[in-house]
Amino acid sequence: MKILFYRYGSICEPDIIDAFCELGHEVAELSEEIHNKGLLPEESVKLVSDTLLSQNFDCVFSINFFPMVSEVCNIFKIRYISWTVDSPVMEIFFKPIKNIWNRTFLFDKAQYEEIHPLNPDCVFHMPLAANASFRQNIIKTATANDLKRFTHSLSFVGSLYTEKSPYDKLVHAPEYLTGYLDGLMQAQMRVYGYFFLEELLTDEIVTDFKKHLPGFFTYPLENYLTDKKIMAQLYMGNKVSAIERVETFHFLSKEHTIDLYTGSDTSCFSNVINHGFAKSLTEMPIIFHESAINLNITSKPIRSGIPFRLFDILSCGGFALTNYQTELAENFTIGEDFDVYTDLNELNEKVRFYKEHDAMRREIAQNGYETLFKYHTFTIRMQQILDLAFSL
Amino acid sequence: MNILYLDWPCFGKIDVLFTLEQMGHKVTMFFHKEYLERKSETFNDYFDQFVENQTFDFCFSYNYYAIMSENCKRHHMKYVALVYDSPQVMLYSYTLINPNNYVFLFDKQQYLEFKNAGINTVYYSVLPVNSTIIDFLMTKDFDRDKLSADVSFVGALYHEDHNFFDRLSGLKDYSKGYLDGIMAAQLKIYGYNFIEELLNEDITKDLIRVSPYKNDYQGVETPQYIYANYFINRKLTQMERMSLLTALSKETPLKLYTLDRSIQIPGATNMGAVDYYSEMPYVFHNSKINLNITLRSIKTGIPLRCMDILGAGGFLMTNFQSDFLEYFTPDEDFVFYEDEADLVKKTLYYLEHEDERIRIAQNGHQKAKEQHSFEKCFARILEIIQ
Repeated sequence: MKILFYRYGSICEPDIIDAFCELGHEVAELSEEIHNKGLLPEESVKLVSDTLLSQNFDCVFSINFFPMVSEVCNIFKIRYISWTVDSPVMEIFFKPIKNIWNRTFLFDKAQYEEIHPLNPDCVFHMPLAANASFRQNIIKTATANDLKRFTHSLSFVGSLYTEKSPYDKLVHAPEYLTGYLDGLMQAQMRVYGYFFLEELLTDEIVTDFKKHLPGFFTYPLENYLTDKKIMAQLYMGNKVSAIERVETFHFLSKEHTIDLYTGSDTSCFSNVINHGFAKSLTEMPIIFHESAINLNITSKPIRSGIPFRLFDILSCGGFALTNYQTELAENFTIGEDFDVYTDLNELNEKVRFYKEHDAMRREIAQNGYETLFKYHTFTIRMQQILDLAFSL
Repeated sequence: MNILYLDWPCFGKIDVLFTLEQMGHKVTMFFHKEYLERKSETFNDYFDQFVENQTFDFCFSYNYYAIMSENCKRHHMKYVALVYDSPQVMLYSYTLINPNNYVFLFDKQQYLEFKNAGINTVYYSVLPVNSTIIDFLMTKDFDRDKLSADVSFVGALYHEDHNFFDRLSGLKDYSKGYLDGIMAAQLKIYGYNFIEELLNEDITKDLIRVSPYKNDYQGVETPQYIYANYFINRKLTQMERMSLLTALSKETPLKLYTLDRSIQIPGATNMGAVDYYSEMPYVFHNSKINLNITLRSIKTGIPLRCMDILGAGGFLMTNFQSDFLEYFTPDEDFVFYEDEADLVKKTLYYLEHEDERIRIAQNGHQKAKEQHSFEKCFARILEIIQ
């Protein structure tokens, strides 16, 4: 099969190209958007349509959903396969999501529940995956010095979201409003597996919030978003993540030293070592492999799905301790492939426990790796995606 | 054994006396009107006189009374308390650690809170229930019209005049918003109550400002405990009971057995109060569906009301409380609902599926009879204290 890959620079794109090739397909890449973030929709339309005119393709593929690519594919009557890897993705609420040539795969069941009714035949749920063999190579070829440098008892790779919270643009908000929202977010932070923020925003609260948030997200063309959804998912979701991460590290650092790989400011913590950004391809695999415990804290806008980070950790043979998400048990065995926590006390106790139970931790990490290798590699996943995409 | 029984007007007295006497023990009744005080010289004097020239193996009361614990301690007597109320602020007294105490709590989370704080005088116990009295009651005449229902709810709606929550009207706007936010969220969640831990320092300060709270003598309860349980959880229960009953009464006939005759819910019939011993078991036995909406201050425990329903052989439809899962099986012994829509759906389903309903009620009754009888409960208590 000949696949046109519309790239924008997502970290997983090379892995997916590898997987397509491994499955015996030919991949042509459109990489303009990676280098030119200011690419206009009409330029991207022209780029895709010119390519489709010049050669024959069986389908177009992209990570996340590009409404303009969907429109072009609909005209060419060629399947547009897309796969979300993050949340929120605003584009899946835009009108082209209804195009019949779409084959849209959503990694989070909560996303799927929202979008599936808009295009019941063409929207699917598909969990994420990882590239196990590539990562293993990095670990095998790592120098003794690298292994030593990245050996930690408890580590976390990722943002604290403290610097990129659009919620913080809120200005001169009435006291009642900020009180209400703080109350909701504090409660949401403590509850895993059920995202209730959206249900608890009344129309008055949303109107009030919009009034005090300059540049509140709007989209000029037809879409299926509501201000309530935007407020809950885009603004509050990440803010809860920021509060949650700060509180988690404050709590954990009372008893444990944490090695953080993050670009966020961590000067407010005392028992935290900030190593700055980790290089995704060369350093992250070694960190995951060499850390006794790798922490995964799913960002709150991912309401039920499993984030890339957890697949990454497992693919490197790392031991993962993750917050509870409802889809975990559908794809893995909790307690055998990794362990979960449902509140900070439980997290703290499990960190203490696993620090002392070396053999058990290693066994779980090994199980996790095997389960991933057997069921959740990109090669397996892309085959599942293509099968579904071409089944209709 | 010789047992001193604190005879305050509690539920379960007849069953406790009967059970202990059947087991061959002698029970002596004791009462003094100042049993609710934390400190009372007249109580102490009366107690001293009462136990003079008599030997008691232990003293028993439903719920926990600090003054009983202190007096028992002074006379080197064991004190057994079986708590069925929640919240019970009296537990938050430094007397709780008196080594002569054996305090049985029905709410696992509350038990763990004490236990994890190093307090070793607390035990966890499901509340016992008399599951055979219903057989006797059913041989008697009773007011079938009054005491039968399709769907029934027995309990308070907390619409009282002295509603604590209404005293908080002078709060700052931020605090008002914050409380509304955490309460709206809490109403969505069963099985985990986060109100108390979410009352942070600023909010608590503001609460203290508008409705001051000070610990009594010996009291170690935090202001957060008081505001969360006596003010907010109570208010939440009121909101929740009202909205669930209103939603349900739109779909099906509903009888409310509640003290306050003035409460009106469209579609529901307010039957007034029922007597705990002579009437309530009939209601549970003769309702197709008995509804339980747990008071929000009970964190994970199985409320007395649920045990009463199961004991009377009634079909129990309840909100989720995690302690159930340790002793009963959902959909086999009882049914729980997850939210308002689920409650309506399941109620309508079980109204139509009589066989399933009867089977579940029988299973629940059987389990209560075999495993949660007064005999078993007291056998365990006596084993522990010896």
